[in-house]
Amino acid sequence: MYEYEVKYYDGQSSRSRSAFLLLRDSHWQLIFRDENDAEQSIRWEIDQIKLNDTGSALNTFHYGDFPHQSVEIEDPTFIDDLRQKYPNLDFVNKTYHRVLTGGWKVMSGLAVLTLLVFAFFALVVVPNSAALIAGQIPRSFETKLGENGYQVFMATAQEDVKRSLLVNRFVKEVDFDTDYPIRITVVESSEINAFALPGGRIVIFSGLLDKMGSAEELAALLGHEVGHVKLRHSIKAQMRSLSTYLFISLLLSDVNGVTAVLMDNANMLSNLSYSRKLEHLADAEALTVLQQNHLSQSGLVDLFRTLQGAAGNEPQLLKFLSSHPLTQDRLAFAKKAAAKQRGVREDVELKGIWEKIERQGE
Amino acid sequence: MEILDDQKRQLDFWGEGSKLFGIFIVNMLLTLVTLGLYYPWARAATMKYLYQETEFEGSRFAFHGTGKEMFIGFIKAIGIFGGLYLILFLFMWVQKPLFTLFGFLIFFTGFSLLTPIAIHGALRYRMSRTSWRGIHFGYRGQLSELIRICIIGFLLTLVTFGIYSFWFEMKLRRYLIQNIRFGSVQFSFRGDGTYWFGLNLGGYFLTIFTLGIYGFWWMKDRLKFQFSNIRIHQDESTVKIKTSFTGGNLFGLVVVNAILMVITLGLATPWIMIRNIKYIFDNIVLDGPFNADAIEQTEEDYRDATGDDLMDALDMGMM
Repeated sequence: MYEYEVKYYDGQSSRSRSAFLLLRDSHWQLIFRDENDAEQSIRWEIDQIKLNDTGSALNTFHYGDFPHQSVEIEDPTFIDDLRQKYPNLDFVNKTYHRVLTGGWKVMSGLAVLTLLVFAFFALVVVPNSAALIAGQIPRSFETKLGENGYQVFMATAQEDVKRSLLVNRFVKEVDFDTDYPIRITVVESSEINAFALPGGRIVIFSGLLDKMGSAEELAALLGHEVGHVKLRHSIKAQMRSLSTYLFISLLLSDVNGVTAVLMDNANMLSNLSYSRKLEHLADAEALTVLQQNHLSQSGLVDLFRTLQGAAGNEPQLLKFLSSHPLTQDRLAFAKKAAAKQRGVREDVELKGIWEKIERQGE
Repeated sequence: MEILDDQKRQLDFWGEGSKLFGIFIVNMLLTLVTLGLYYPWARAATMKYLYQETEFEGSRFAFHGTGKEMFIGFIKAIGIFGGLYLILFLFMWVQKPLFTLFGFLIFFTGFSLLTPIAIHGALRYRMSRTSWRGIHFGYRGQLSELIRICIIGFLLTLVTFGIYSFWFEMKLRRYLIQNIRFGSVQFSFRGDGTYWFGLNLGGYFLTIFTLGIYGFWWMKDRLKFQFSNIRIHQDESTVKIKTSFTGGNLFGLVVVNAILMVITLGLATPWIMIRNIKYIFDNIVLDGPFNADAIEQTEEDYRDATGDDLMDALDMGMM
């Protein structure tokens, strides 16, 4: 009963000794023959015996302080025997041991559980805490961030001062319902584009301005960009991508490169879908601004037509990958809203400024 | 006392992918729910398993490091990084060019000292926590000497536009390996920088000319160089390491690993780790007289894991 053949090491030399281990009630007894063939008996007190539980078929027990004595036991039932012999002692953490030796069922169950926890963190915890943090960022920091980005961008760009002035005058005539200071810079460039920086700076490329045809269209563009500013999209997107990145690197700190790349791409796709959502929200903001200023929402429809003309027809494949929702989709959304719109008035003031902007571009 | 002459010995590895997978899953899950705090314990669990399944002369290796030790080391490592950044930040806060310069100087000096400090601490810890037949390894290198080697190495590498790095690497390796002790057993490394430089230069260009195919033979040469230059000294006798890596079997290993990785979306990582370890062990043979029973415990206990965690944070692998 409770006798095992083991290998014994005394902690002083590397001599490997075949020994018998006997599990006694209060201690372990090790019996072996020494160099002179004399029988030796060693007593191990139970409370000083330690096991590195690794789930390996071979277990190594260490005894006492450094330098430890140790025994190696290769007996598949040994851990179970220990539990029977000493029901009140924990040589191993039962749960952990069950997991390590549990086989495929336990393993796949755990894998699924891990996946669920992972999904919960990735889909719920991370985005929400990112939004929470983004909400706490003070306005002054946001302005500073935008200002820095603006300086960097303008270092290599040429401003169209006259049209900047005119568009800023245009902005004053429209109620954007925001307390962010909206400042517009028109930049000389053939690109058909515009972007908003956190804090209220908006950059419009002259190429886009040249292609536009009405005050309503400009108002729609401004409404869209101000929407980004108002809803703090830039900070939110950055916080989200930063927190996702932190989360992933936390988890993958010791996982292989390929997985890291896969996760990275998944992250990029999720960022893209997030930024499509933000674009949609900004479109909705633009429609609200147009409505509140009694301007025709077909301005947004025109804007999309302009953008569509510039980009050519995007193939379907790009729909999933592009950061802006396909102009077709947005166009349909704007058309639907414009068709239902009531209470449009002509704004003579805005029209006047717009005509000046148009003339300036010729 | 019997001396087994002219014997060839190999390391055996008994690890199983499914067991390692279990350890990984538990690690992942606990790291996730503790928001990363479990990481040091995860590292310890993995190492313990891999050591436990490594056998030499009928006895297993053991890793004695604990999650707690590594966690304390981890906190200290963070403290050191944080301290360096804090100094830089405070000096920049003053907004005077001289102060900023001074801050950067301290910061970069600190950072370059960090490498030898990390290597030194990590080796002391790793070696002390590794045992076979109850005998612990040890590292007896001097930190001041390592710093000297590193500073000279950094500077020469800088002025030679990186070329000296091959000689530097060999110098470092020689110093580290010759200071490893296992009782009365000592180690040495005989590789020299010129050969290492030639091997890598040739390998690099041949790999480009053959559109990457030669890469496997280059990798083979590097592995062979790194192992076959290690010598193990016991009393008057020397054990050499013979390798049997070939470009062909390395090609097989890497290609199968890559296929496994891709089709399982990374889930095969534990099996791949096991394949890699087995590949190395299968292809190295310790050749020479060695008395496995005659090693006495000589090294002292060392439980500070700061260096090991610094290494991990700096993303430097061990050997």
